[in-house]
Amino acid sequence: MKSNFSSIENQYRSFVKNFIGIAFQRTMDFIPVFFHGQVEKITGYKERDFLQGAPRWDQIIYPEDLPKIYRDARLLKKIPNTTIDREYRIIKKGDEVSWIREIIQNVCNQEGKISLVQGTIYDITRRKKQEQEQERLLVQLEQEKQKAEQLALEAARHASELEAIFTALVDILVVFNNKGMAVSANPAVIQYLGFNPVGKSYNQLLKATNIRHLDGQPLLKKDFFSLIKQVREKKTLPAQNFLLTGYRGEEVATLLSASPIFKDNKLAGIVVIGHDVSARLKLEKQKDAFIAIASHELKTPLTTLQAFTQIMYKYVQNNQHQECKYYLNRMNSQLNKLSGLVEELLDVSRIETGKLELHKETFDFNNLLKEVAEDMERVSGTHKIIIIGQATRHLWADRNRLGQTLINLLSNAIKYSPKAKKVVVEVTTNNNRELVVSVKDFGIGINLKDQEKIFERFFQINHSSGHQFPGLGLGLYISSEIIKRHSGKMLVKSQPGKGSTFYFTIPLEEKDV
Amino acid sequence: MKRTVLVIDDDPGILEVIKIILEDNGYRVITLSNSCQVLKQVSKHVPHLIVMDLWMSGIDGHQLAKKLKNNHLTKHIPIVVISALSNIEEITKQSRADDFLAKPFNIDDLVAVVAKYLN
Repeated sequence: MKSNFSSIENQYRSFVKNFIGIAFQRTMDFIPVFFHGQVEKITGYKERDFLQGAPRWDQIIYPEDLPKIYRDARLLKKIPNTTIDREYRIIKKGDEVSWIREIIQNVCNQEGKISLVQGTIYDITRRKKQEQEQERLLVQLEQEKQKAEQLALEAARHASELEAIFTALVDILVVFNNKGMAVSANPAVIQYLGFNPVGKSYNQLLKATNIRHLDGQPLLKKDFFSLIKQVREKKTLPAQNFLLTGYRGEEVATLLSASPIFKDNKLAGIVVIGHDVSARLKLEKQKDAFIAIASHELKTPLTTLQAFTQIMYKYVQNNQHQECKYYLNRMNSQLNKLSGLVEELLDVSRIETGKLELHKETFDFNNLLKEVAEDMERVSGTHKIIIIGQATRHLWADRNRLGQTLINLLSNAIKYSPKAKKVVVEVTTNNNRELVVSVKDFGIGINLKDQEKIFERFFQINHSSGHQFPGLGLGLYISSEIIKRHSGKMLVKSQPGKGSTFYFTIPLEEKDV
Repeated sequence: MKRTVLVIDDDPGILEVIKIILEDNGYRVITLSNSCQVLKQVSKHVPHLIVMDLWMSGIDGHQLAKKLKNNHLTKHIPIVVISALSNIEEITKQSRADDFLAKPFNIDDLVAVVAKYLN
């Protein structure tokens, strides 16, 4: 019997020694009766420490988990045969927090009263950490999923917005991929061209739409591809007018522009947008034709009037009535003014139709300037024209047109400086590369806003004083176009109240002597 | 003997003023406002010089000048065209006219260009 008992005891010892948890029995007040197993491994404290009550078990429980333990304790105290399987944290010696699983049950004494609790404790920190990690991952996954859903929603919204724009756009829009193939086109394209360009290459489209310049000359393949190349080099092309063949085979003037499409900083394709400008161009053409015809028709009676005036002048040459001569002179100068205005209108129509032709010759600019300045001094009678510097080389340019420009700048300078007495013209030859001429007045000046528009046609300054200056607002437009046609530049610097300076440059060409 | 200038223009004002100026300068002037009669008129009396407007209603002055220059009876007659067209110089060359005068013109310029071919 005894050996039987000791063999059981041995078995129990061996079990406890190899037990991976803690087996315990304690009072309801956390005073241990026994504490066996991996006590030190799980808590950091020795069995002895607990048996001496330092620390007491509830003192190492993680404070946040303590209320639950106390709640359980009340339950264990009241209801016999209660077993609780619970997980909570303890603070190990050395302040490390670990998770444990405790299976605890109450035990009744011989009187049937609940006196003790007993159970087992296992370290589940590793499992808990894994669970927590899994949970964190799940949460993260959920968050990412939500984010992705959000993004997808947004993308869908963007896409539907784009789709709406794409569909509603009156202008034509074609997207090409990197291989030069049309990959999408809005419905307007099909109405415009009469076919769907999707799937077609640049070459095929060039042929199918018969793209031409406005003057009817075909857009050469090499010019077309040089434009495409520019776009591929990340430039947005300025819009240009071309003629396309529309769906009924008619010509449609179209303003075409193209932009590169980038994806992750890499060229992904090209988008081409076209706008029907035929109505506008037709109107402009009609207007130009109107100006041309109107001024042409004005010229005929003007010619007659001028000729009769001149004939009459010859008749009254030896007449005693001096007034007659005076009146005829006045008539003639007004007629000159009128034909000047008609001439300006004609110049505008020449510029607009690209027919402003230059008749270049070699001449001495200094002589031209002197002639014009003397004429202007005589006509104005109020301003002296001071010339500083001179051109060191002869010019190869249109003498009449440059004369026209000088007359325009000088008459403006005089007109807009009614109280001044002089105009200063400065001539320099910049490094033998270009002729630079400036015309400076000491008049009312031009504010910054007007300076931007001053070279536009029909622009006129509304001076704050309410003073209106006569003219059609064409002189500077024509002058700047003349200078442009000479590959030069015209610009203005001005300060209101102090005066304006107009500059123009003419590049000196090889032929200039 | 007076030299004869045929002036063709559909504008009576221009016709009249050119007639006065040229007659004043000792020329005999025949005017025609209807260009359809030109060939008939020319075959009746061959002028020494023709001054004509390029832009006449009813007929293209450019074509008329060409016609005159292609006709063996008239091809030797110098033609001076008058026009307000901006590209008058080019048109003069194309129509094989000999000279041009841009509108509006000066009396002296008209007299000078006529004198160039008749004196």
